[in-house]
Amino acid sequence: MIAEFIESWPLFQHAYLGGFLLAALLSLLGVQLVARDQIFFGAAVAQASTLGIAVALATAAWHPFGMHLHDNNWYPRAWAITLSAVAAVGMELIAGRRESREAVTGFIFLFGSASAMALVAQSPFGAEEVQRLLASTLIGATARDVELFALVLAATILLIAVHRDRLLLLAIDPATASAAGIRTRAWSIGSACWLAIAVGISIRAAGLLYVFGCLLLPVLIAKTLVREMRALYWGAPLIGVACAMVGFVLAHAWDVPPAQMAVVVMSLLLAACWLRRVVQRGSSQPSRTSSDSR
Amino acid sequence: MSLPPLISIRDAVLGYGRHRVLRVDRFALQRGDFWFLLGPNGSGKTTLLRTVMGLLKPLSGEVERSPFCADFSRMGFVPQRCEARPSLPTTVREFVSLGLVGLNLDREERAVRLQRALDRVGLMNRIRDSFWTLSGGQQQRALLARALIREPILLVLDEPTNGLDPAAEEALLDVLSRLQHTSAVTALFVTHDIALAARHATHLALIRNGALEAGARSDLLRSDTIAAVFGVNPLLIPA
Repeated sequence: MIAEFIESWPLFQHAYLGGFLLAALLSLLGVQLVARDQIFFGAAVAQASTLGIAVALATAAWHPFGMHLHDNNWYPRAWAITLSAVAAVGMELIAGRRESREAVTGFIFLFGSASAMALVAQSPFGAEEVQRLLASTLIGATARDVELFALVLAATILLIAVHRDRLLLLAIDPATASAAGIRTRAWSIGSACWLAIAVGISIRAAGLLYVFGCLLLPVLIAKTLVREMRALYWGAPLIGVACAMVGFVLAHAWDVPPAQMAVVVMSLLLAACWLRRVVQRGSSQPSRTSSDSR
Repeated sequence: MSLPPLISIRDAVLGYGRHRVLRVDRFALQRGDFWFLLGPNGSGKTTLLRTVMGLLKPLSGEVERSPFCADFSRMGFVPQRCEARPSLPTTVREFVSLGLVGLNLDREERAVRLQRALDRVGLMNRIRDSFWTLSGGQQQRALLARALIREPILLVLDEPTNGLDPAAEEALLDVLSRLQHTSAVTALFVTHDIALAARHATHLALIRNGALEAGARSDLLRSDTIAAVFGVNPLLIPA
């Protein structure tokens, strides 16, 4: 199985490398979302990014140089980054004031998905592309994509290495962060923009399912295995990349889409971790009771 | 000759935008004072705290800060409770050392401060334990340690005893009283508990009718002043 996967490497190397890099990048950024308990923030930003691709496809269809714009990776990517940034910053500014964060997140998710489909419904290639994005596929990643993902991952690692504790305090206790001199609003908006850029560059190559899966699942798995929040920053990317690797190998062997398979592997591992925790709690319960009674 | 105050607010109006919340004629925090801030809900206690911490500029008037309080490095803040989700893994060591955010210290100094802060609140023996295995009172002491790790000159505590049982409450106040005596830390403690203020305060700040009245405990801790603040007759003020 592994030998066959290695044999396929020259043909799919950009797709695989892109998948690994995105798994690491998105799971790093997912730590902040999980620590702030804003799980669906990532899904809403990814959906807004899909709407950006749909807008790019629709405007390309109307434009005299439409096909050229469609083939140019930067045009849809610029739309994806712009709309995901608008959504992310909008959620930071509006949520929690007059409406709950969940309500605003739900609104963006629904508006993004419905309008993306409506916008490209009549386009000859648009509807198919949006369906592909929603379902996720990694086959479209190019060498330039891989370079870009590596660059953004390196910048993200650098930012987190310098500001890790600041980000954690901001996530778990904004009031104390503010009292420590952190400009919480600016940092929240900055983090949201960075997430929007990462999602915006990822979405066309990986699709919504893989992007959201990598933002969320590796962090949730790591959370059950580590003892400190700081460890999530190395645990989650390692788990993300390992799951992607296993998922891609299995997908190649069983001829199923690699992005979906990677998300299935992450989900099964998370279920196993949750089960392990339940079993551990169950077995530690009686001993704790007996020591208490002593 | 007395030292200049750490923070002095004079003839100030505090608020947000066009919304005036609190009038402060004179409020000066001296080194080693233990202030208790009392006032009904929505009276402007948080507005005053934000101004003292330098997070809010007054709409008018003056706020003077000594060089010790010119930035956030010598200020500590203890919130009402820990906002983190219990599903988030963290140890006492990690939780408390997050208080060092924004301070430029080497590894050795960070370790020394961590040990000192945990020693002060009596949690050194729990350093490696999960934060979530601590009792409510111990968690509150860990929050205090997270503020103390900054080695603050000014400590701001926003209703830190809410929801604690009397023993845990007293344990927390014991730590604060010792700090006040040994390190001359100035504390500004927000509470609704008049009995607690009566036992531990050196000074009181009372908010009534949109204005702050501040002074020594002996001058302000009277049935009539407390009744004016809360609108009820406090029968339990100790002599």
